[in-house]
Amino acid sequence: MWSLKFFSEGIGLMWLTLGVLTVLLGLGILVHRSRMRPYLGNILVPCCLIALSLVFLAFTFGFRVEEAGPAVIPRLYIFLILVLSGIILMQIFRGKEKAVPKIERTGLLALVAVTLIGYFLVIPVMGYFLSSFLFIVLLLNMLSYRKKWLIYLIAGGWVVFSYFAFYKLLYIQLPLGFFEGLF
Amino acid sequence: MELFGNLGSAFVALLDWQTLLVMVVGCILGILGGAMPGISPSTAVALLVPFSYSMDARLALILLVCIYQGANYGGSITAVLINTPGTPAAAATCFDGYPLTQQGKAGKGLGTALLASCIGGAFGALILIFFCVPLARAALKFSPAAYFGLAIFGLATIASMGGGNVVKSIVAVLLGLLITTIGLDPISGAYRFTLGSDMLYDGFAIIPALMGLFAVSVVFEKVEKWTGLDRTMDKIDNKLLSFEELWKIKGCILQSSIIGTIIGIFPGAGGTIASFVSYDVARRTSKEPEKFGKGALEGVAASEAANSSSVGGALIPLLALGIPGSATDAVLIGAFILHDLVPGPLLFRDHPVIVYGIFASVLVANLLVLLIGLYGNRAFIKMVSVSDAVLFPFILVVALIGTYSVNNSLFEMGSCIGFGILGWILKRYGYTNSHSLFCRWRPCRFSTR
Repeated sequence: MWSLKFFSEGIGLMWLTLGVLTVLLGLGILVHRSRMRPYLGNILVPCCLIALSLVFLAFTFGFRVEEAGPAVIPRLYIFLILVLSGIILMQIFRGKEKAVPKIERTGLLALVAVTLIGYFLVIPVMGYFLSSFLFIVLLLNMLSYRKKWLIYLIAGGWVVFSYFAFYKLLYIQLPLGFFEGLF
Repeated sequence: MELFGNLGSAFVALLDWQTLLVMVVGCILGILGGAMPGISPSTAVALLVPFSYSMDARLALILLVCIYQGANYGGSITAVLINTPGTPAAAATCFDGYPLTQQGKAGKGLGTALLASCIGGAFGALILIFFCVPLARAALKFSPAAYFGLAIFGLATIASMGGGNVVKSIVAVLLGLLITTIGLDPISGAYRFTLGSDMLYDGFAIIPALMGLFAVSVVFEKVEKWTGLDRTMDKIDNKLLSFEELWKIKGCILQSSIIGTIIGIFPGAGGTIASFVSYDVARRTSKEPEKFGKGALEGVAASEAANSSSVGGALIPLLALGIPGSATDAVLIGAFILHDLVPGPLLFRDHPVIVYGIFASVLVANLLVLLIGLYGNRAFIKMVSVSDAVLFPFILVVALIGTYSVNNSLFEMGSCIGFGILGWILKRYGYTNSHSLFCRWRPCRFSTR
């Protein structure tokens, strides 16, 4: 059990996570170059679930050892996910699964996702109001909204609305970033 | 007698101006949300859940139930006018609703949808009232073993909601359950999977998951298939259906209301299946089946009566047993938990005011939807013409500020985005209809109880 506990924290956990990610990446490249390429997503999702389950399983080796202890229930779920993900993989390789069509607007989707994450990250720095204004302007431009003047009006309208409705009326302490002390 | 006494008090309580205002606002928001093809009833309810946090639990749940009821009618507006169902449950309404618009009878189409929706919804509400109480009374006698069986049954039905590959749905449920184990173990007191972060000591909160799975993931899903085309709606004629026409379809409305309610009661079936089954039955039993698909009022009525009556039906397992009957019910469970309530038989014993308030509001909401629909359809049509390009950023900012506002936590805002991405991936690859993953809070509540 000692060797398994090694993977539950610190350097051991880091190595395990890196190893799992490397295997996933390798698998992705392998499937991408094989005749199973249309099934790349179908295959990667259960593989990611297996990888995630393994990392969670490693964590459980660091839990207190006792009968019906904190590790029992998570291990039950992990075991079932591992088995069922294996079954899903078998279904895919036996041709019982249809390939999920490619994402039609990959670029746009990635841009929206990155903008959303970026929006979340800049809120503590720039404050909620300015970041929301920029986020709405950016997203409306990305989605090719035609009425350019209206873009700024909509974004400004939201900022004004959220200031009065959430900040003033509901007393929600929205992050103000470098505007702290101004309001 | 106790039922009528409680119900009477609940109706009297609805006369309070605050409650009435909440109901009117809920119905309007529901109709608008349902009418916008980017927003399903579950998304509309989910977006409003965090804002109901500061409200009294009874008012909050009445608001959400009104949104739910209103959204089921709202879906028919775009289905009739532009052949695009606002909600999945209104898909069958397109078959005859849009041909009516093409014939210049959009007013009749919308009027039929409105009346059928409200009659069907009221029928479902009556069944809810008279069926739910005896069921909950029986459930109160359940032993712990029966409760365990009920929890397993609930999980199994939620897994079956995903449709398609059952194995994938079960994996989604298990993943949700595994996420639930993050944080403090209520039995041993040990911290699990927290990575030493105090933000994870209580595990993931319910609102970020709710917003991520039901709102953010929907935006990703829509952007993936983004065409950039705006909805355009022509002016509609204002001629509603006559009393004779309504009388002609009364049998169809009643039949579809019964079908919708029964299908709604079965967890996992929901309004979409109800409307398609009712449409098919109406076509088979009609005296003029050849008119179906060409603008038959019966077709519109069948679909709308069924999907609206399914609301009352779906609330039966939710309120009496704590099992969500549909995706929107799964969101409502989140709202119950947010207000420290556990849907199920104990709710009837411990919080009868809330239960009977919901009963009364479901019934009255149909009347409000009828009035609002009659006088406000033109305004709604203008409002739902708003471009998706505007709608999507708003869903995102509302979801994020809603998530943040509950605990003033940026961590929860980030979790919401994470759940959104996770929900989109799992849904894309056929693992879940979001509620499979979301069911994770149920067993947790069972254990704490």
